Amino acid sequence: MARSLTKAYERVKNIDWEPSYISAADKYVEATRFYLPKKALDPFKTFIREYFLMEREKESRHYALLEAASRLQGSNPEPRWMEGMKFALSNLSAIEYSAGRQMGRMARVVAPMELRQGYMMQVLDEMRHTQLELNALRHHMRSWQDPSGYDIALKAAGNSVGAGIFRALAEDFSTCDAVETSLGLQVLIETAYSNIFFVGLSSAAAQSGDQVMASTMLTIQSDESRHMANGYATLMTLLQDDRNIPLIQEAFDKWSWRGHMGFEVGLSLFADYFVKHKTESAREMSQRWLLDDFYGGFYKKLAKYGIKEPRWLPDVIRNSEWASHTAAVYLFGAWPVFYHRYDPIDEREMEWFEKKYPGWYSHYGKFWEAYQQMTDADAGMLVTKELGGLPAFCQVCQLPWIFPRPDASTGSTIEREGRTIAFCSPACKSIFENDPNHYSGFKTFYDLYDGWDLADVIVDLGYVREDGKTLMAQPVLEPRRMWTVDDIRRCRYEVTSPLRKTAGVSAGGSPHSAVP
Amino acid sequence: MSTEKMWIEERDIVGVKLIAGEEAEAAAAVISESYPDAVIERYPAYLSIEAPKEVVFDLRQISERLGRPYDAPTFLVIMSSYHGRINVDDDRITLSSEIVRPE
Ligand SMILES: [Fe+2]
Ligand SMILES: [Fe+2]
Repeated sequence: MARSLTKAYERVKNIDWEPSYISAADKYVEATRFYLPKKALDPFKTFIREYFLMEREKESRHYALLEAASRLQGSNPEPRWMEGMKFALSNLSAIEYSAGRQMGRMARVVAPMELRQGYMMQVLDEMRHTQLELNALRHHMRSWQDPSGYDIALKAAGNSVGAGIFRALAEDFSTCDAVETSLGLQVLIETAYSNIFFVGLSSAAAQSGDQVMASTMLTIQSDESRHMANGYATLMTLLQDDRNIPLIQEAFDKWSWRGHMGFEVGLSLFADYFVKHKTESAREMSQRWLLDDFYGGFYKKLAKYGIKEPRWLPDVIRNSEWASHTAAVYLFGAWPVFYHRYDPIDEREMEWFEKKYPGWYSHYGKFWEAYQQMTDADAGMLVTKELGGLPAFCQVCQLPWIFPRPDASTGSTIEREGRTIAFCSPACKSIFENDPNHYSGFKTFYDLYDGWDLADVIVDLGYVREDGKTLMAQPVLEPRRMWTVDDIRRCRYEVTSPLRKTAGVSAGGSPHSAVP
Repeated sequence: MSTEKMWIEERDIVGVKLIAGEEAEAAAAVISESYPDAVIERYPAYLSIEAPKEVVFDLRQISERLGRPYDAPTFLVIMSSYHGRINVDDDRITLSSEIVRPE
């Protein structure tokens, strides 16, 4: 490269102007409660021309691999991983797309040009990530032995109860103060958590024989590097004005917890339960990437500017001890309302869990024994029903009411405008009470399906195969006979909101109620 | 560590995760020559380089190793992640552990 980027960058930065035909208030559309100085920093100094050259190079390297992978089929990927990717990819592509929307919004609200520039490139990055994930999804759909589930992945991101966790997170990011979005998304999620998934689990993808996903993850994360820098630049810019300190603190208090429940819990579940050949536990990954690298290597150093430990961090740490296992009880317990085949853990893995999480068996052993006994469609026993039905869902994070452990929930409820509203934790409750209108509108599973027969719920969600009967989800990889909606109907399980006050009065109206 | 509680300690380690391959190996070779404290680890799809306090990737040295021109945007193609504070210049990429607020 002949010309100096650094010098050119300084020159170009001065070519910014305030238009005379529109007022600042009209130009920036939405107000922010943060104070933004005129000058900001941009550690990457990226020009559009270099940006495109760089991204083109990334694309040609990645798509060469994708092309080769579709020609050289026959590597035997691990079924558990390939089935888990149905849920993972559908949610990831939706999260990335909404991140792109959030960046566009931030670029309209935030004035300093260095930050705007970084956000605008991130819009393009996030569209790239959505496409990369959709292409991985398409590749898997064509190459994997059971495409069912991949084919409805995008629809499922919009209607699955489990995907509600990620929808709630993305909607929160899209509707909170746009500067808060930067602190929550770029500083918390992208800096603290995205590494665990995209870098940490890229090894698991490679070991599971899914080279396409390993490459997808690492090429995505290479853009994430700039996103972390966007977050850092935004934060450093804000720290120049002391009036921002309490606002930054408030954002970190909230997003440290929201990021944990809305993103890290899902990652932990994935790391511990979708990876067959285990090396590092989810908890060890959290220690390394989150506590050592993020909190130890970065966050703690903000103390000199008056930024304190996030309010709910002790709860995050306590929750992390059991988060993946509790999330697994939910995911496996509610298997018929998902869209992949399940591969429950075996004896060898149970031993591994007991070693990595001492006490694991005493808290979760019973669930797994019950699960193993109820996988046969002919026996007509549904683990979802036998263990007491689905729990209430938290109005803020949309996780069930069973955290940190099903036998020790920190959940609570409040009455508001004639409704009973549930929270998984004091943190989510407090976040709700700070801004109730922000979270009230999100419809939970029960707002939609209370009173329905589970079989009708599955049909309504569209999680049946081409014959219109066989479920996409199966409780084991290769059942003796595949479960159908008729098997579910025979189990006679009516979805019943634990928050319902009057028996028989429900929000929904099942087309064919199981209860006479 | 499995039986211990999780904890947070302030650290001054900086580093990068590079997509595995020829370029990552060249960078690792350059770093291990100039930073005796650097820790290089190889994972199935990526390579990790960590060092205390500060590390500078000199793109000319990497270019010499590779035997072809090499610049910052190309290095960023394989840099999947980093920790520390980053600064990208024409001929080098610097990671440092200190946080400095611009005035
Ligand atoms: Fe992204
Ligand atoms: Fe919650």
